[in-house]
Amino acid sequence: MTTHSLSLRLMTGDPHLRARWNRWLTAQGWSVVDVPASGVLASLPRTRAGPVLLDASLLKAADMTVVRELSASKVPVIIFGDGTHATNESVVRWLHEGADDFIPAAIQEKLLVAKLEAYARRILPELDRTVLFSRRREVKADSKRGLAWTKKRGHWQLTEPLTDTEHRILCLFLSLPETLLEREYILQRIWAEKSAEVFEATLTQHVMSLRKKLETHGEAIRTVYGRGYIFSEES
Amino acid sequence: MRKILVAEDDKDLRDMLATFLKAQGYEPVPCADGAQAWARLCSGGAEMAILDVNMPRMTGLELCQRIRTDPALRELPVLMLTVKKEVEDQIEGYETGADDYLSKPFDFPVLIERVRALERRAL
Repeated sequence: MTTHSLSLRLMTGDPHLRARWNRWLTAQGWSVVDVPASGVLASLPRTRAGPVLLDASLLKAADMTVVRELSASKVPVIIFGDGTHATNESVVRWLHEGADDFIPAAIQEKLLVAKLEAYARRILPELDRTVLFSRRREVKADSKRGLAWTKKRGHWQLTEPLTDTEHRILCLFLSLPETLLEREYILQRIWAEKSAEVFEATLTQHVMSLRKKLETHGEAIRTVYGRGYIFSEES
Repeated sequence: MRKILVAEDDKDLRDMLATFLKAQGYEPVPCADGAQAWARLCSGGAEMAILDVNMPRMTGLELCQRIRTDPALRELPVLMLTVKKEVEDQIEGYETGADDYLSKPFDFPVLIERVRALERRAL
């Protein structure tokens, strides 16, 4: 879950959608504020402000001026609507008027969250969170949150908790797949200036533990004797 | 004139994208695969990247991952193009660091408005 200081403003006349999105987004760490009517748009804060989700059916022509102003202040404006609003012409018009995106109201909540997090990364660079995937997309690691997942029967499952060092080693492998990483290079990247004080056996120990926690996917970490490791999912 | 890297292995689409972007006042930097695109990005100059997901040598997702983990390129706005409409694929794209996603086939006016929207919030 991402928790951050950004709040998300939601304006919709659909009580069911409001309740559903509110519940889902709150569970994902967003704080959701209801915007009761389009007239309130002009008074929305503009500094370090989170995305605004606007129901197309409630927008009046005059609101587009506010949308342009919000957008100029780098407040992401996402307009949503049903099929009648989702024609290419409408989407082009909304975006041209200053909206950042148009999404169907029937969007899957998981996708909505992924989109919102992409906006949040732009607003608050400190939130920057990139998920690193293996080439076959069987292993992934969140580079900022210390989490890792492996795919089991087509679904992502969190691994057993990784130590900070194990997680950093995994991120290094995922960012340089199919590449021989010399032990010395890994020591330098993980322990930096302290690398000279770290025994190679310590690295071996961390890699062994990481392999175990990745279960069958741990086989992708291959030892090149006398040199280092390659992360390779090729058989 | 803003340079936009266009990584697309389909030559017809790549040429169309380049022509269209040029007509809209951008300077397209066309690349036929992910590895070529990475080399171009490393030599500098592009202010945005439009990446096809499925490309030879290096996929758009791998390329996006490299961009986001490279200190010099990590802020580059990235728009992904894909024929995949699966929600999970799009989520993976966003998780990898894409700013926006557009499914093929797409309308060029929609693409250009998405490029402009991305410019507004990222540049």
